[in-house]
Amino acid sequence: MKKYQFSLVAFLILSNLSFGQWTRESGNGYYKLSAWYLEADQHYTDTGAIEPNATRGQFNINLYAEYGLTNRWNLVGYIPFFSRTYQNDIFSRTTNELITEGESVNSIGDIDLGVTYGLLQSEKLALSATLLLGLPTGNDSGGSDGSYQTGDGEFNQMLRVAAGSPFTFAKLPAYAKVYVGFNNRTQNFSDEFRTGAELGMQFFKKLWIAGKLDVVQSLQNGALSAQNNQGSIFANNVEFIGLGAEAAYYFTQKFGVSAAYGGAVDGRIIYADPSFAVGVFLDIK
Amino acid sequence: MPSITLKSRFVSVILVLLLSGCIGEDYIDDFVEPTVRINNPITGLQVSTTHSYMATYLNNIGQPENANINWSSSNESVVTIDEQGLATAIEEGEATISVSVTMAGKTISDQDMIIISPIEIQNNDESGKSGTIMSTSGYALKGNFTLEANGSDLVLSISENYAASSSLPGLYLYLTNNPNSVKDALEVGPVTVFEGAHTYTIKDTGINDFQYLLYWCKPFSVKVGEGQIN
Repeated sequence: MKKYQFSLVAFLILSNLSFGQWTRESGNGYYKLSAWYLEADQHYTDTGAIEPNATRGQFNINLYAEYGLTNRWNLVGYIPFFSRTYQNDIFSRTTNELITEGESVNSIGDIDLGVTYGLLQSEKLALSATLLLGLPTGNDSGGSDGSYQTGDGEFNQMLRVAAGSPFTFAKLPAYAKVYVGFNNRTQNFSDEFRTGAELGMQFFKKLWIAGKLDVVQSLQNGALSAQNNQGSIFANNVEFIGLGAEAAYYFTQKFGVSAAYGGAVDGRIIYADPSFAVGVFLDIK
Repeated sequence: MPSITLKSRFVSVILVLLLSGCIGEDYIDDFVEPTVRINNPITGLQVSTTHSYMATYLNNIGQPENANINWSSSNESVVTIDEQGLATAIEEGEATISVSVTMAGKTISDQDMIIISPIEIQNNDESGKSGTIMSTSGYALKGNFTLEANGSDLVLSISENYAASSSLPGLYLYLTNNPNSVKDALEVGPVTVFEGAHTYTIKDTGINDFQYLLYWCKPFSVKVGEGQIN
């Protein structure tokens, strides 16, 4: 991620749950249209302290999809086809005069496309590997000072291995999943080690509720800093521990709605406020 | 028609999210105590010569504002001063020239102690000031500085002990009379040196024009640190 908002967008795709641990079978798919929103007036500094900032917001409407090419190969995509970033007007509390006029930029965001391969798929364990390509399709220099960005301007490649297992808890269907990943970044951004876990449970045969943990650790091997990237709000070496939860309600066997909440409970150079998302999904099994 | 209801609800939620993505309003605490300042203090005057004082009143957000300025001399047998700030040396001695402004029942003032001499006094314009930069945020920022007049320009020299966090995006340096705001502040430029000595040349700026260095994160519109100019 090259900027605060983008790191949370990256967090978003990590957090797009499809409530299962197996890859899709051939012809099956999971498609979710979501609106995601984050507004923050504070952020984690490079030392992990929380500092205030002018209220900035990030909003996008995105499509997340998983499609089974074969029983083992899946296509994965995250397309934020409308992305908006903005900052509030800033007024003097003393005189009520406008000091800095707010600003906004709308564009497409950075797209992630990839493939997942089911390494092992048994009734007790699913093991998969995913290669995800982060395409710099967003605007990395929007607004009057270049800091209104909807993308980081770099092409990254993330390899992720996930293992999941179904189980029952109190006679309720449930699953657990863990993953580790490596995100190779370009344009002098530091590479990242990523890991996380997910725990989901089904209630009343229609409602899935899942919690998720995501950890991003910078490898601190990128040269990009404020010294050579002046004016960019997309900072290098972003790190965070994110917690999120998502609920999905199936109105039918295929169609449902979802709502998600997530945020960084600890971090470096990332917003310190939560994000929200709502969506509709089609789960073709 | 459950599907229509569902669709309507989803569209409503999207609309709420879209509307919540609109530009709102933030307010910053930019109050500072009003001050009045003599812009051209002197060391002294030769008997029978004059000096035209000038003063600036800075309001509660640090901006120059017209005000009823009052001049006075502590010893009118030594030096007199008229309501325009014109001081006239009468006889040898010492005196304090005062400028004051009364606003809302509160009086603020500034002084200049001068010597009146029968011989000519060399009044070197105040040409040098200094201060210490310190962080007012969670980001590292420290160092000493000097500010010197060079003709109509200023030379700001940051000392070797200076260090600033390079992790903060969009760090800018300003000269200002209000360390809490960049409104009407003079933008010196983006900070591109994060360690060690360096200098800035600031065109067409007087040594008494500003009271603070201000380090400000532009993208976040927040103060990072300041250095009072003494």
